[in-house]
Amino acid sequence: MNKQVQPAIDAGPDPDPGPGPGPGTSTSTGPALDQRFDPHRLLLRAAGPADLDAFERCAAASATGITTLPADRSALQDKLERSAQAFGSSDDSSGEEIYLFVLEDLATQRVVGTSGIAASAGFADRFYSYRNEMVVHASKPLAASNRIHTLHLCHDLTGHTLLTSFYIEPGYENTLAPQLLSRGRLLFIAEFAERFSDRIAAESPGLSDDNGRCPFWDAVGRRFFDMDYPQIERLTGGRNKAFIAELMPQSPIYVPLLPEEAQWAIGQLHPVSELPFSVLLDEGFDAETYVDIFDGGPTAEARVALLKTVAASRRMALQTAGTTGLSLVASTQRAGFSAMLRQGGMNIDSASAERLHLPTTGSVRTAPLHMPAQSSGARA
Amino acid sequence: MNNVHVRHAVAGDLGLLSAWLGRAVALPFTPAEQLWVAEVPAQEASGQTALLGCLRLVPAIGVALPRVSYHVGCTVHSAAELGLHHRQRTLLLGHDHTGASELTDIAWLREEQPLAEQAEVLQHLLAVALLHMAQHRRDYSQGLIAELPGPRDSAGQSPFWQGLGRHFFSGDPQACAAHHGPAWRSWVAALLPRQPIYASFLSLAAQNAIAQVDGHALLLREALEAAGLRYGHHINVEDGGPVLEAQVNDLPLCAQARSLELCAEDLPMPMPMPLPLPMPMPMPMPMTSIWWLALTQQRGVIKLRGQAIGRVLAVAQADLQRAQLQPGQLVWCAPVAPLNHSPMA
Repeated sequence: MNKQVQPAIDAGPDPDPGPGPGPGTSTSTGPALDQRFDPHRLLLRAAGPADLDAFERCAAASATGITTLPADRSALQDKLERSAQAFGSSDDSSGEEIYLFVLEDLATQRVVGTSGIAASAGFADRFYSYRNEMVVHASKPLAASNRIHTLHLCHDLTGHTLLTSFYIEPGYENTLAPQLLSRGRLLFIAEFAERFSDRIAAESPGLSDDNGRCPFWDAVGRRFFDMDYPQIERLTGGRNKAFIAELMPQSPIYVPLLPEEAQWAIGQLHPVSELPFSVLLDEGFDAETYVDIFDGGPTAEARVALLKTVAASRRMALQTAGTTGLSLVASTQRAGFSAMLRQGGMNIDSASAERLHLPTTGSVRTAPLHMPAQSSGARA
Repeated sequence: MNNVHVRHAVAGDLGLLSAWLGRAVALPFTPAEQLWVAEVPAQEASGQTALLGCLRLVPAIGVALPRVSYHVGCTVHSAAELGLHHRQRTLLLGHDHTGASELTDIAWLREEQPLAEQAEVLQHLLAVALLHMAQHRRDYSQGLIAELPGPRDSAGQSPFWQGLGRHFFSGDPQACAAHHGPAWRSWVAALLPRQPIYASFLSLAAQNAIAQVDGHALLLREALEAAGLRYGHHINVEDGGPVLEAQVNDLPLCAQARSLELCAEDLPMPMPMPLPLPMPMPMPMPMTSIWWLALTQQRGVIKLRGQAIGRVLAVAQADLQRAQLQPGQLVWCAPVAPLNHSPMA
C-alpha cells in the first residue's frame, strides 16, 4: 500500500507579499518554522457573512480538490449564512450544522486562512469512502499466498464530524498560523462536544496535476462516467456528492488490476495538503484506512477524545497561573467563538481577553501546543 | 460416408493422446466415464490404424474438485439527469456447472487434414457421446458443458490471463497445467478475486478475449453448436474461452434418439404427394434421412440412409450388408439432422 506521506515538497519562494519571512530566510529547506513571526498576531474566529470576500479569495486560490470551498460566490454566501446560524443559534444540534472559521492577522487586519467543521458527514444522506482492505488468497497445492489490496465502497464515516475547508495563504505556511487554524477547531469541538460526533474525519485532496488530470479518477471513476475530474468536481461541488457516489462501482476494486500510476496514487496527498495533513497526523489521526472515492486522497479518521489537543485540553479560569510554553487558548462561547496562541501562562491581558470575547473573569479552554519535531522526516 | 471409426481408447492410445493434450492422459476411472478415439477404419488404412481424434465424456464435474468459471454478467450505471447510461460487463467467479456432465479432452489430427474431414471426425465423436448419453440417461446429468480454448498468441500466452490471472498468481499457467493436470485450475481459483470484477478494469486485449475461441478451435465450436450447445455467459478462468452448455434433453440428437428395428428394403424415392388445396392440416409423412446408428462398443457409430416408419428403420439391403447388420436387429439411433416431425406411427 502506498500510504506513506511523501517527503515534504519544497514550497518554493513565497509568491505572496504577506508578512511572512523576509527574503533570504526561507529558502528551500521545507517549512521550517519562522521563529521571528509573533504568534500573538493571529486570531482564529467564527466566520460571518462579512467574510464573503475573503472566502471568495481563498476559494479561488485553493487548488482543485478542496471541494468543500465552492468557487461560486452565492454558494459561499449560503455556506457563510449557515455557519453564522450554527454559531449563533440556541437550538440543539441537528447534525446539519457547518462551522466556518477564518484566521485573521491582527497586524494587517487581513483574513489569511480558512477552516471549517461539518457536524455530521453526509448529513441526511450517506458519506462515501473507499476502505482499504487486505484479503489473503492462498492455495496450498500451488504453494502460493498473496495479500491482495482491495478498496471497498463504504459508508463507515457517515455521521462522523468532518474537518473541512482548510486553506492558508502560502506566506503563512512557515508560521504557527496553520497550527492555530487547524487545531483551534479541535478546541471548539472539545468545548461543544455535544454538538459533534465522538468520531472525526478529514478529507485531504489526492494527487492531480495542474490540468486536473487525476490518475486515480482516470483509472476508476472515469470508467463509469466518461468525465474529467474537474468536470466531476464541478458536479459534486454544487450538489450532493452521494448522488455521484451511487453511480460508482459497488463491488470492491482489486487494486492489482489498476494501472501502476493509479495504484501509487491511492492514499497519496496533493502537495497542497501536506501541511494540514501533517497536523492531523500529529493529532493522532489514522490515515491508513480510508481514501476518497474520487481522487484516492487519504481520508484521516480518529476518535475525538483521543486527539492530542482534545485530550490535553482543559477548561481553566482566565486568571489561573498556567503552564509555560505555547498554548492554544479558546473562548467558551459558541457565538463569536475565537481562539489564539499564547506564549507562557494563562495571564491574559485585557486586550487579548477582549479579542477572545471573554469576560475578564470567565474561563477559557486551553491546550498546550506541542509542535512536532522540526524536520520533514517527522511527518512520515 | 463412414470413413471414421470410433472406439474406446485403450492403453496403447494414451501416448499419442497425451502428446495431443499436452499432459498425461489416463483411461477412465469410473464406468460412466468414457474416452473415445476416432481412427481411420482398419480396412482402408492398409493394416495400420491412425488416430484421428479423441473425446472424453465425464458424468459429473466439480464433485471431487471444485470446477470454476467466470460468469459474464452485465451491470448498468444510469442517471438520466446526467445523460449517463453505462453498460459494464462483470466477471464473477463461481462453480455454476457443478454436477454437469462434460465433453472434454477433445483433440483431433489437424496437420494435412482437409477441414471437411476434421469436421467429420468431430461429428462422429460427438455423435457417439450424445447417443451414448441418450442411451444411458441415468448415468449423466441434465446439464452438459464443453469448454473451448480461448485465444493465445504465438508464444502460447493468453491475453486474458495476462490481463487478469497474472495479477493474482505469478506462476506460469501452462507449466502448472502440464505439471498438475486440469486440477490446477481449481487450485488457482483460490487465488483469484471472489468479488465481481468490472471487465473495464482489464487490459483491452484481455477484454477482447472474453468468450473468444482460439483460431484452431473454431471448427470444434461449430461442431458443438451444430449439436445444439450454446454459449451460456460463462468463460474459462484461464484463457477466457467460452463454456458451451446445453440441457441434454434439448439436444436434437438426444431428444430424437430411439431404438428401432432394422428392416431391409429398397427405399422408395421421396415423392411429393399431390395435395388438395386448400389443405386444412399438414400431413405428416415418412421421410428418408441420414441416421446415426450406435453399433457395438468396438465399432462406434455409422451413418446410414434410412426411413423410420413407426418402430422400424428401413435401410437398403446393400447398406445393411456393408455395415454387417441383420434385418430384425434392434439398433439405438438418431437422425443426423433433426426431423421436423415425428415419423408416422
